[in-house]
Amino acid sequence: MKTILIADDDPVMVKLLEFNLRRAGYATVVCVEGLSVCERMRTSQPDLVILDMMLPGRSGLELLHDFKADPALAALPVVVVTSQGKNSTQEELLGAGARNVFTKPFSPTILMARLRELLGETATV
Amino acid sequence: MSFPLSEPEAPRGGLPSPNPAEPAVLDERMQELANIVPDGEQKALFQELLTMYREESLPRLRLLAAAWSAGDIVKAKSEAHFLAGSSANLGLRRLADWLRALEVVARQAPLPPADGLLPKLEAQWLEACAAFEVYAR
Repeated sequence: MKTILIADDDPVMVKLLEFNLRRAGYATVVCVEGLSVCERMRTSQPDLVILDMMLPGRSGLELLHDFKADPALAALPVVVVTSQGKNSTQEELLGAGARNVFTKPFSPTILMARLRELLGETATV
Repeated sequence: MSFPLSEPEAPRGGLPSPNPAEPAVLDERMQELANIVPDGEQKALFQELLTMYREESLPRLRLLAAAWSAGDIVKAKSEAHFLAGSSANLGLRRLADWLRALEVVARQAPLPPADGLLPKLEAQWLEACAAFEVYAR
């Protein structure tokens, strides 16, 4: 079973994501604080990370740079979720290594389809 | 379906107000959330989401108002940002857009006077929760 790490401090968002991911057959690990995301990634060894743009302690952008600088984490696909809709922010995140940026509120169906693609599974949507 | 929040212009002077022409809850978002659960489980999920939202957001509305009154731009901006995103996730459109407008204003010092911000926030929040609850019954 593939594991997805959810790094988000909003319990409503976490609940929605966990609900969708578990129904789709994925295991989930949750991290609600920015400073512990890298350590959590090393210990749980997820197949993919869903990263909130504004985590307490460390922003999504800072974390993307942290991942890039760590050979153990650099290759993991990361999808960023954000409340900000500015193009400049999206470009910055994609440039820093995010594979996709989803602006809240996003369609859970579209997110799931993209995750399957990133995990090398067939998208159904 | 997706409906990203717009990026409102910072109004000149005074607090932005909620837009009464906007729906308290977006039917499209509720349908989107309903589509992810099997029939018969939707109301239970909605009720759980609403309970979580209430528990998390009410204290943070108070933090936002307190930060605004204290002129704490960093805290006001971060709380407005969090609440806007969380509200948008549940389709609470009018509240989410208002919080986004407050976030935009909070990017620049000095903050306009709070002028009864907390009771206004609580009133909009209650209205939004009540509108969402209709779908959870």
